[in-house]
Amino acid sequence: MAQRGNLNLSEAAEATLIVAAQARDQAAFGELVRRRQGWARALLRKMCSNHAEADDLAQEAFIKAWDKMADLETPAAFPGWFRRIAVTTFLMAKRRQKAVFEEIDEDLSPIADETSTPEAQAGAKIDLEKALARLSDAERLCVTLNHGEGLSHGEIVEMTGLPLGTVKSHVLRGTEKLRRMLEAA
Amino acid sequence: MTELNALLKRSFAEIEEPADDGFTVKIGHAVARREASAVLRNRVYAGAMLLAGLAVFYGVYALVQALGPQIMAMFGLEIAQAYGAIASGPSATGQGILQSLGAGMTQLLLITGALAGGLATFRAVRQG
Repeated sequence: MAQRGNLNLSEAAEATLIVAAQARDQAAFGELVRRRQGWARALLRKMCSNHAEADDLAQEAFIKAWDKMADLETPAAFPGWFRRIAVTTFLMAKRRQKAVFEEIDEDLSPIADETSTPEAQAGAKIDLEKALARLSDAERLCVTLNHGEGLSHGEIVEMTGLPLGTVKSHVLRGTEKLRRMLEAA
Repeated sequence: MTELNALLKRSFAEIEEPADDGFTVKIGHAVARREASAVLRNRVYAGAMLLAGLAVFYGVYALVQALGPQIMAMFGLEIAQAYGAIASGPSATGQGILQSLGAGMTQLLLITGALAGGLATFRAVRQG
């Protein structure tokens, strides 16, 4: 059981670990990573089309978090703060790969009738990871943040720096693509 | 659309989080390496600053040693001259310059007063 001074790391509250990590306690940060790695990697796996890339970005995001721990104002803000770091890391990686986020694919087939298969949708279960992998990077990011993380369009704009119209289009089109994949399944 | 949204939300929530397959250890090592290199960098920086400080001190010391007596002598001479000038009062030439300045200053003040008065009158006329 990890113990450090009077602090029992494995039983310590997350806020305690964050405060200790802000004081440059590597063991406390390690425990924080152990607790949050699943969530962080899952978040980035939803945004990336492959797991290896997502894990590399998660590692990069955690190291950035370690460097910037002093900037975190309150421990309670950690999830949102880290999510922002993860999204920024993802966007920077995509910019390095010259991915284009502003353009919207206009060649999509028309939007399907909304009332087409509500029963099928309600009871269905989709392999979301496979479906997400078929979206563009920008659509996957916006759909994940909107549906997966529950962020509003405005919050996504604030986090990604993309224009509001672009975010709305990516969410709408990404969602429609997922629906068509669901209908086809 | 609501049903689709609900399905998506549920599906997102159902995506399994990956198990810790050495990820935490890898981050721990990366952080430790980073901290070690930061400590090394700080030590190198402190050492470099110390060396630079010693070099500057040595340079200044050498300069003072070489030119110190001359500087002190010049400084003493200046003080002596200033003291002499204060003690003996202004010379005949100096008195002439001061008188000219005083006369010139009177003219200057008269001209400035006239200009200010003229400007005030001009503004008062324009506003009135």
